[in-house]
Amino acid sequence: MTERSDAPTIPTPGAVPGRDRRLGALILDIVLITFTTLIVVSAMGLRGDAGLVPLVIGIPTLIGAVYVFALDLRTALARDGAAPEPDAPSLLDQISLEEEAEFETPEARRRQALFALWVIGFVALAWLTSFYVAVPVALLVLFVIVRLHPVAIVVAIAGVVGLLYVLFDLFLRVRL
Amino acid sequence: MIEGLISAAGDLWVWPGPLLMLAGVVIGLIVGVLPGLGGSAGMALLLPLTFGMTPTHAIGFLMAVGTSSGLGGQITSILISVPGDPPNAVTTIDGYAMTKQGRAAEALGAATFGSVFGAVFGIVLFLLVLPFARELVLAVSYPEFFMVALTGLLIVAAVTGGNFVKGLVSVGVGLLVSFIGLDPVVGNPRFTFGQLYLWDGIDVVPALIGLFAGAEMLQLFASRGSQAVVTQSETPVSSSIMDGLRSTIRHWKTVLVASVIGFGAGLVPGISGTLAAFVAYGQAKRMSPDRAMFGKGAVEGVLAPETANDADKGGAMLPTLAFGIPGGLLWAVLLAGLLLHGVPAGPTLLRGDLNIVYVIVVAALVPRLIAAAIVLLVGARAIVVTRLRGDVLAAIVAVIAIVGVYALRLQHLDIVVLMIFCYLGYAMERYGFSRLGFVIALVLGALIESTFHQTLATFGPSGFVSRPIALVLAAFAVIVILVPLAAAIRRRRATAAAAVGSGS
Repeated sequence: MTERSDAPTIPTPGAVPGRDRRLGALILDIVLITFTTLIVVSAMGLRGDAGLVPLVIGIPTLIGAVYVFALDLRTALARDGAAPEPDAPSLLDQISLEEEAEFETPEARRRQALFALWVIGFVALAWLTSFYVAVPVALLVLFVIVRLHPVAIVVAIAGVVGLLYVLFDLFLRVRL
Repeated sequence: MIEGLISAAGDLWVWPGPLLMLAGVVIGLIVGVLPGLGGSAGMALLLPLTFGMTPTHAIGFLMAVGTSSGLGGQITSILISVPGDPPNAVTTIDGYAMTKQGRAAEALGAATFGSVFGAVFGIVLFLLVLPFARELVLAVSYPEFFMVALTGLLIVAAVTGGNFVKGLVSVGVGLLVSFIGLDPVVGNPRFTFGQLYLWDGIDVVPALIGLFAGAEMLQLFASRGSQAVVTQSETPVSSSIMDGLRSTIRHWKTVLVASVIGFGAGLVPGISGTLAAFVAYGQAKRMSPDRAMFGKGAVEGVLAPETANDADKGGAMLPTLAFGIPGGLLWAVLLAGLLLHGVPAGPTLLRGDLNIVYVIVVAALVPRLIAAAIVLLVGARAIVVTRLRGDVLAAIVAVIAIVGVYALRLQHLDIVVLMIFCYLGYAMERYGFSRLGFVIALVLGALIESTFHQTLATFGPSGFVSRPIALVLAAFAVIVILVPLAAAIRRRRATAAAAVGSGS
C-alpha cells in the first residue's frame, strides 16, 4: 500500500514548544489537578480509615501536579527566543521528531478529529443496534472516506466480521 | 521428580490431549493478539468447555490458553504498539521503536527467545525450590507485599520518561483512579459520585487499551502511510529472527537478571507480571552500556520485560500450589478449573497426589514452546501489517479493541471508559507523563491499600520496617527516590557552572 513520502519540517530539539502544545500541556495539568483535588476533598469527608490511603497518596500527588503546572506555565510564558541553543539531533531522535512534526500539521489534526468522531459514531451505532451491524457499517463508511479500493474494502470488512464471529460467537460464546 | 514429570507428560499426551493443547495455544495466541481479552479472561470464558474433559486434559487446555496469550500480546506490542495484555505494555517502548526502524522481526525474535528462556528458567527454579516452598512463601507477608508494590511504583516513576516529578504524578493519579469503588476497610462505596457503575471500580483492561491503543491509533490514522519509518532491510525475516536469538545470547546477563526478577515478583501474590516486566526493564537499562538507546529501539528493552513476564509464571506457581493463594489472575482461574474438576486446590495439593502438580508444570511449559514455534514460524510474517496503510490498520485495530473490551464484561460503559482513557493517554504521551506508570499503579492500587491496612492491623506501624525483607525494600525505596533527585541537583549545578564558564 502507500509509503510515507513527503518529509515534514523537523522541529529543532530544545526549542520552546508551539502555542497549541503549550496550551494542551496546561489543560492536561488542570485536568489532573481537578481530578486529584476532587479525590482529596472527597477523601476528607470519608469516615474511618477509608480515606487514609487516598489522602496519603492524593496530597503529594496534588502538590506534584501543581508543581508541574507551574513549570508548564513558566514555559508557556517564555519567549521563543529564550530557548537554549540545541544540539544536532541523532538519527533516532530525528525519526521521532519527524513524526512529531507530521502530527502537528493541520491535515494531521483534521484526520485525528475525523477518526475521533468516527469512533464515537461507531460506539453510538453499536449501542443502538449491535456490533454485527455497527462493525461493517462503520468500517465501510471510513474506508470509503479514505478512498480504499472497493475489493480491499470487501476483503477487510469480511475478514474483521469473520474473525469476530468465529472467535466470540463460536469459540468464546459471547453474544455481541 | 523426573519420573513424575515424564509420567505427567505421558498423561497429557493421551489423545485428544495434544489436539486440545494445540487448540488452546492457537486460541491463546489469538486472544493475546486481540487487544482487550487477556489470557486469564480467555481461560475464564473457556472454562465451561472443559466440563467434558478429564482433569489432566482440562489443565493442559486451560494452561495452553493462559500461558500462550503473552506471546500473542508481544506481537501487537511490537508491531503496532498496542499491548494485548498489561505485562506486554512495557514491550511497546522499545519494541515499537524497533519496528519504526525496520527491525520488527529482530524484536519479535528477541522477545520470543527471551520468553522461552524466562519460562524454562521460572519452571526449573520452581522445581528446585518446591521442597522449601512453605518456608519461602511464609517469609513474605503484608508488609513485604506493600513494600514490593511501593518500591516497584517508585522505580516505574523514576525510569519512565525523563521527568521524575511527572512520573510520580502519573503513578499518583493512577493510584487515585484505582481507589474508585468499594473501600477495602468497610466496603462502602467511595469516589463513585452516585454512579452504580463505579462501585466495581475502573477496570484495568479498558484503561490499558485506551491509554495505549488510543494514542497510537490516532497517530496511525493521521500518518496515513505505513508504520515503519525506515523500510525493512533486505535481510530475510528468518535471518532477522536469528538476530533476535543472537541478541538473547549476547545479552545473557540481562536475560538472567530479568528471569530472577520475574520469578521473585511471581512469588508475591498480587504483584503482576506488569511490575516484574517494568522492574526488569529498569534493571536492564541500568546494566546497559548504551543507556541512551533505551526508548529508541534497544533490544534489551524488549528482551528484559518479555523474559521477566514469563519467568513470573514460574514464581507464581509456588503460592498457588503450596497455599492455594493464586499468584495472579491466570492462576485464580486455574484454581477455579481444578475445583470444577474435583481436584482439591490449596495446601492439600502438595501433600496428596503430586501427579496433578507435575501435570500443571508440564502444561505450563510445553504450550509455551509450541506457541513460541508458531510465533517464530507464522507470527514473524505478521510484520507485513507494518506495511499496511496506517488509516486502514487504525480503523481495524480500533474496532477489534472496542469489541474486545465490550466482550469482557458486556458493559457499554466500559467502552466509554476506554474512550476517556484514549484521550487521556494521547495527552499523557504528548505532554511527557508516564502512561506505563499510570497503568501499573492502577493494577497495584488495590494491593497497596489493602496490604497497608493489613500491615497496620497485624503488625502495627512498626511492621513496615521491623521485618528484615520489608526493611531492605523500604531502604531501596528511599534510594530510588533520592537517586533521581541527586542526579537532578548534579545536572543543575553542572548547567549553572557551564553558564558561568561561558559568561566569563
